[in-house]
Amino acid sequence: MKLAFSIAMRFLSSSKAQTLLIVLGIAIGVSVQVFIGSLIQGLQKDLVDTTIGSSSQVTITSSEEDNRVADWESIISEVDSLDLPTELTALSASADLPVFVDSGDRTLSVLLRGLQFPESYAIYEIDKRLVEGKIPENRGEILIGKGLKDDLEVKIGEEITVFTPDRTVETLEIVGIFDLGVASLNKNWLISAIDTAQSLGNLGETVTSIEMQVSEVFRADENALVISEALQNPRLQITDWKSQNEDLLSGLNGQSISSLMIQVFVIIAVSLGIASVLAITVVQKSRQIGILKAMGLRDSATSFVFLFQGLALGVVGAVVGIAFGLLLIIVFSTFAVGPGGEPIISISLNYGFVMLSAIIAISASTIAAMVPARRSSKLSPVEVIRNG
Amino acid sequence: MADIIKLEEIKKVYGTVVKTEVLHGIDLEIEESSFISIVGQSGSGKSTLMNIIGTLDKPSSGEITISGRQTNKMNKNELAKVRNETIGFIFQFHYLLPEFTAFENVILPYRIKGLKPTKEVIERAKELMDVVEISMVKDNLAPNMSGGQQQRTAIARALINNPKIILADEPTGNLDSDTSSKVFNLMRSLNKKYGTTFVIITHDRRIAEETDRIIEIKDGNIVNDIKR
Repeated sequence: MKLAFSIAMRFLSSSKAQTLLIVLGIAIGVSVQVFIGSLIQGLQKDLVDTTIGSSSQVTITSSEEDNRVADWESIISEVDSLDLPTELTALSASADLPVFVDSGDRTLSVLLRGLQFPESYAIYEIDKRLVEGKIPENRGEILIGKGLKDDLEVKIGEEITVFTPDRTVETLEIVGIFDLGVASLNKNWLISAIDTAQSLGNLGETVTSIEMQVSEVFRADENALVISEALQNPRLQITDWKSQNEDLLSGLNGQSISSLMIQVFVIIAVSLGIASVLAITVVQKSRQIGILKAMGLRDSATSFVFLFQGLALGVVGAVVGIAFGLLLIIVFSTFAVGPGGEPIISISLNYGFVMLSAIIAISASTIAAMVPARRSSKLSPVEVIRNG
Repeated sequence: MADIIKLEEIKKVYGTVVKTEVLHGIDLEIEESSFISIVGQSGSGKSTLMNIIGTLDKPSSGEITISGRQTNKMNKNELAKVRNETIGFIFQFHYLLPEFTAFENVILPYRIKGLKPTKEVIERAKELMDVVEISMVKDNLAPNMSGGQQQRTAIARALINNPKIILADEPTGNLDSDTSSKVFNLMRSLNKKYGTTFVIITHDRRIAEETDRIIEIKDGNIVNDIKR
């Protein structure tokens, strides 16, 4: 084995140009893989973040007509105590009700969202998205979206009058302005503390939903299932983002498949390259193999000479390829930036994925070397000696 | 002396559709420590005979005994071991590994055994290289040596495992007459010094005349066997 390894190394180092070319081939393959893979993953993460990053991923609502979830505090503590497939990163109740706002010449229909502070920060990040003013603390204080503020032409400190579908009228004081980064929400949401919404909607002690976020978003449906089984309450309905965003999911899936296809073809191309170059090497080195066999080297050992070559080429190619790939990522994040200087796509570097690419490249190289290894083991020393 | 090589009724047929018999039942005994030559025209079957003696090729029928062991029924790995430990090869075209230095080439058969070269083996390699006068080029790669140096390296390599038999196929065929006689004399002295059996295959009568026994092969048969 040791001899086979040192012969393999000598063979590689004796034809440097050939070795360099093949290493470069593998390295380019690996770097494309690392780069494309990281890019697609970053893209997907961005997409998922913008789509569902600031909304509830698992939601408990009422299945009754009145849309009220009673006894919500005990539901929250029960959910909180469950052993869930993926950890909850946010868990809070909200009381939502549609209200009308009079803007002088017309009446706007908006959604008043009564949220728990600070529990809901984890979902909506209101604390970070407050452009002006403060978080509502007292009953009767609200935050208004940036868009709605412009529509209504109001300022902090002013009061607006809202009325509910069952004609409760109340005057609320604007204490802050938020920007959630989504125009439709900025135009359609009023945010208040939960008790303001509860009293305005005559909800009493009930809420309209319990919202959750999870650490692994793609396992939200598993959590929904566990929660619904644990609560066993026919008056409650548990939904997750996946069942409501099938288009997004199939888009993400398509992206993953196309990235996988690219990677598979890159590996196939790299493997074919290695196999063909090593096959040529068997012919080039047939004299040496013949003489080694004549001196008593076993067939299996000559196979190892070529397997080790494949392995060594794979390892060096993978290392160089990862370095190339990381360089590409750095270049891309440095130069492909938006007007604000932030990268267009924040590439996510997943070490597991990089390691996997390396392992795949190394195993592909070794497997590709099996064809020439077999050929070399079948080579008969007599042929070499007879043909000079 | 005991026979180190014994061939009985060796036949070799090439081809499956059109069969060509190149050896027609050869019987041959070679004594230990002898220094013999096998001569014949090209195509006479002498190289085939050497490949069969060297276990590189299998006879179509007949029995071979090398150093008291029948090799007919051995598998490939057992044959490889026999070649490695009992037989040293010297070929016309040197067949050194060009990727390795002279010293590394000499030590290769020992490393093929799967052992790490011991101090004694390294000393032996150095001694052999002194004997064949290639110590000054010991760190040269094979292509950076003259033909004579390469052939002498090949001889040192053939001897490293202390084999009982050296099979030399046209060992001087590729060398000028001066170098040729040097190489030949070297083999002769090694035969005396270590008692190694030398079987030299050649088409050169003059070389054959210098050996202790000349076996002449013609059309796959032994036609002459002259002992002196």
